[in-house]
Amino acid sequence: MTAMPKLQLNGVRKSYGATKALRHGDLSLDAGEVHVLIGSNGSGKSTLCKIVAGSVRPDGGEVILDGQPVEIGGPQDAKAKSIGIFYQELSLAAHRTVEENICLPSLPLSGPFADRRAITERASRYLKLFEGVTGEGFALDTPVGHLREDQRQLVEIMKTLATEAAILIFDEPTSSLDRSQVERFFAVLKQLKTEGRSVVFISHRMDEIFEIGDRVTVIRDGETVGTLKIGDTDQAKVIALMVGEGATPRSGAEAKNPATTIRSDITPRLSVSGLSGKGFRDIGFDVAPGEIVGFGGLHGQGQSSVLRALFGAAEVAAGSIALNGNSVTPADPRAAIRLGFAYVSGDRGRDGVIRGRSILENVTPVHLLRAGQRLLDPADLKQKARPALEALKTVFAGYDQPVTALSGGNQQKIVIARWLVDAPQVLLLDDPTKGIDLGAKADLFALIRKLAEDGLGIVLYSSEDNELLQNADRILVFNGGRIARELAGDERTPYNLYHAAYEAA
Amino acid sequence: MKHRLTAVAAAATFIVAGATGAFAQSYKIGLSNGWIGSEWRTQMIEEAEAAAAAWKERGVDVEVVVQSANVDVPGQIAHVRNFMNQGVDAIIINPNSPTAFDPVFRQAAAQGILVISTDAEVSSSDAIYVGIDQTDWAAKSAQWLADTLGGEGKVVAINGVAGHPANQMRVEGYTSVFDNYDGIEVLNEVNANWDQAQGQQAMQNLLATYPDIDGVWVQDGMAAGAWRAIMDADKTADIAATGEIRKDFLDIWAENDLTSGASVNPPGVMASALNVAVFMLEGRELKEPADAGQYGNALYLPIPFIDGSNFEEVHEAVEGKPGYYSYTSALSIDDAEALFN
Amino acid sequence: MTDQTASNSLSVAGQRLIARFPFVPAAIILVVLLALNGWFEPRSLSFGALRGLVSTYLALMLLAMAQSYVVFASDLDLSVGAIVSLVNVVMVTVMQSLGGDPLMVLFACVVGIAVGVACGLFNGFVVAALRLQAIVATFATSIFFTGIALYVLPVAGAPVPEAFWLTYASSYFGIPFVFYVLALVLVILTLLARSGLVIRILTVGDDAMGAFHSGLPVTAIRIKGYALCGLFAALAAMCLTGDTASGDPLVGGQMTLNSVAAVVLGGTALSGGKGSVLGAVIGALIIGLINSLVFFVGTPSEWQNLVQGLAILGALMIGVLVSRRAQK
Repeated sequence: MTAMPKLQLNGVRKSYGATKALRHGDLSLDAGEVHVLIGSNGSGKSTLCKIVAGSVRPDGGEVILDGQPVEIGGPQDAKAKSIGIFYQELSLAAHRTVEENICLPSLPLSGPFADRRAITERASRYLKLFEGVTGEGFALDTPVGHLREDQRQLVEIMKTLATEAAILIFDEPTSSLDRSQVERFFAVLKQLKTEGRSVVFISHRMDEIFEIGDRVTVIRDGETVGTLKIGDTDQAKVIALMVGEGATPRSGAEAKNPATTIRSDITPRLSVSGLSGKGFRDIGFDVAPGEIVGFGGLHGQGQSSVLRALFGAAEVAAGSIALNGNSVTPADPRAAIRLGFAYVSGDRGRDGVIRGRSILENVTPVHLLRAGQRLLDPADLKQKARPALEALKTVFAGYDQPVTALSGGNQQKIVIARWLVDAPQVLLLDDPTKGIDLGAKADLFALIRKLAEDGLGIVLYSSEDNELLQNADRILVFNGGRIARELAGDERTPYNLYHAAYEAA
Repeated sequence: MKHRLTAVAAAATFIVAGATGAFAQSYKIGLSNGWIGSEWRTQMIEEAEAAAAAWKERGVDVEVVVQSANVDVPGQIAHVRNFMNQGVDAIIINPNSPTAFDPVFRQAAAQGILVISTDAEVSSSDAIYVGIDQTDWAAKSAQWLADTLGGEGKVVAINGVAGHPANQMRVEGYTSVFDNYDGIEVLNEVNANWDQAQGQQAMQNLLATYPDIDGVWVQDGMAAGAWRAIMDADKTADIAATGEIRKDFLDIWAENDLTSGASVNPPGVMASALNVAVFMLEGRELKEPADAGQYGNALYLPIPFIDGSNFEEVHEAVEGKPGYYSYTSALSIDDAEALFN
Repeated sequence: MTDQTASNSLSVAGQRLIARFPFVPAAIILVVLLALNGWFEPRSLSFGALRGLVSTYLALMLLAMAQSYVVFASDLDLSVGAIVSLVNVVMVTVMQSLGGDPLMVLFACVVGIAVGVACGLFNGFVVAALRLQAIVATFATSIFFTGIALYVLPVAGAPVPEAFWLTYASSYFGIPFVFYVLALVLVILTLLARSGLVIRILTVGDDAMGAFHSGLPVTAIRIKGYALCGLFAALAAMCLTGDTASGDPLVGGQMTLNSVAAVVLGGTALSGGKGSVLGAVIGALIIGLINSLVFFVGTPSEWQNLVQGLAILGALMIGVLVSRRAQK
């Protein structure tokens, strides 16, 4: 190990506004190794990778390539410096064919024309690596948009390999792949190692990490906390590093112990059984009045889909939903609202705030829908909106102030206030604190607890594990679209949560 | 039901008879209009259709086929080509461009089709223009304004669309008149795109900038707007301005006793052109060849003028018509015949 | 059972066909419209009439091509009509000041193309480099280009040398000149469809972020798309000048929206990433044939605009329905 590292990052940092995505990123990558990057949701892994790939410019820190400090000016520059990346969100053109996508970063030309023969030839070289595991309907001339999720992920892998770069970064390349595809992919990675290429590999599956990795670097809260040799460690040690040594099972605001306050003889507010749909299977749980049920697990394991399905915004293939013991079918959001469901999303731009309109207009649409009112009486509306807004301690100058003048946290309160004008039965919170500062978060969770005490059934999905540990009475850990484990009472520890989330699906 | 069938059959027989025997002559004339932004154009076509029907009494069957839609220049060239495909005897067109039709008119002429443009002149030597002289149209009203002001005063002009040939000719028209008077000072000339609202806005701006305006020379399509601004500014008595020929404006004129005068660009021009066309199809010779105007192919029609002296009479003529109706005049068949040998 | 399998395989075949050739529904509509025109006015299918059709709409076909390359990148160019006007007056003015010598006419054409490409580059710079909204930015540049055109030639006029427009109207070996041009256009669009640039433009239109992440020079590609658009707008202006034989600073203005309509009628999505230039060319003919058909059917003049609008909507709907059905 006297050889100079191929790539080294020292104290790299990046902020988006007030949010520090990466505080202090260190990484040392050798030639001929597969280096695993691990950390919980939002710990800064992807930001670190994007800095290396040039699509994010760091605010500070050092990037050293082959012993030389460099600045990576953009994806084109990264390409020139022989760095290739697999994007978690994929970078494919849906209407282009598989072969075109594989060759896109440097399209073979003859004169001004695309050299079809060379494209097919080059693409088939990479297709051959995955021969037999690509699945039905996968051909070089298939438009990528016609492929399944796992097949698209394979195309992105082939596209990354086709850059033939010395440094290859794979940001969660295996999340949709089946076992045979993963095995083939690992065989390819092993071949790359023998060629002396460097691979950064991000995955949440512990077994995969220990199968393919040479070293593992752990990132926690935007900081590199350590690098371990895979041979010298085990899963428990890695998880302990991710969780942090000082982490206590419960801290901060206290959550109630469901075993004592929630009586089993009360009809649940919400009762779900056997619910299946796109992205989730066989989901069953109850929410008692006054209870906050948390959805945990890695990002994108079906939590949001379940919430959206309950709100009628996503299709339900099978299963039953009961509200206060009565079977219901929320066919669309309008129906769900009339039944008494309320839904607040962290994606305020898409699902919540009506930009450019006043606070009053943002508070009242649900009320108007439920009351079936067609004509508006602003004075009457203000009367109805006032208690809801006061309960939220929302700071605003007047009802006519545009909602976008408020901070993210206060905007989110306005969105919640919208549901409180007419008391709902069940409040569905879909990662509601995304992009909100800490002070506002505390207010928000105090409010949510108060709403629970008033008898609402609350389902809370959060991508931040701490929020769940501090606020949920029970945590259902999602993995691969199923509920992998239920944590209640003293089981609610970071260790248990990580362990359940990172278990092989 | 049976009755109606019989009636249809009878009508059909009549038409067949008409086509073959009853009429000495029958002609098919295509009318093309490439812009339908105002009622004036609609009235233009309706009057032309009425003029065609009037020929029946004289034993000539004139069938008109109309293409009237908002089209671009190629679209109107397509109008002409469609007429050629249908085998018309003559084409009367209100053209979207003065010059763009040269080649297609040549192709039509080569097929023996008579081409007449109206309302806007065309440069083609294969067509003639039958309509008013836009330069003279502007000069007439400019002369009225100069006379009304006694040859002295401060004047502003509100024009249509920059670069439009009719607009250009009108600017030349009033400029040539005002140049004759040392006492008339043209303070400003603005474009308001033949739009009433823009005309009103322009007039408001002008009134704000120049408090002592005596006269306004404004083109039709914007004059009502300009007058509204003048009346809002309470200057109705102090300012003389040109006017419009629409019924609704004539009503305002009468009610407020405006000092106004209007050159008439009558929607009847297409009807006049149609009457001229039929005589030409009959093989008659014009007494005076159509060789006027900048392109040497124009036959100019007389331009009526409305001012205090004949206002009562004009206002009576449009009595009972809808507000958008324009005061009109057209060559009757007899008037047209007088132009021929 | 066998029936269903048969219809399934038929729809699979249809799906393949339309995925590969998105202009197929447009081509079917074109054939139907031709047949209807011929039914109501047999002479509209004569050789001379078809020649007239091509002469008239060659400019719009080229303009629809121009618009396609911008739409492919999920952009839009509302200034194409103004570019046509500007190139038209510049060419005519150059021809007039240098005389009708064939060499000078050729020089004027080169100048015209240069002007068109320059306008395209300017649009591309404003939209892609300065990142202004394409619709509003090109609306603004359209006013700007019209202003320059009015400065170059304040009033319509300025006849073109006969050598120029007689060529456009002439025939060689019994085949009209415009048919040669049309054939050339078809060859060019086939070649361009295979060019690396157009594939990259489509990629950008598909997912600009993905293309950026893949290391494609997204800004440069979008600018090149606009430049290509300017080039074909200039060629459209040359055809229009050939058919109108004159300079008119306002001649192209109304062609802009027709070009957008032609692109959409041809099966290209305004959201970018896919489509067919040939479809846009067919779309231009569809617009022309609808206008003629409305007349040949004998629609009363006061209803022609309305019927024409409805017919274009109808054609659009048929195209969408056919594609959707095939994609099921």
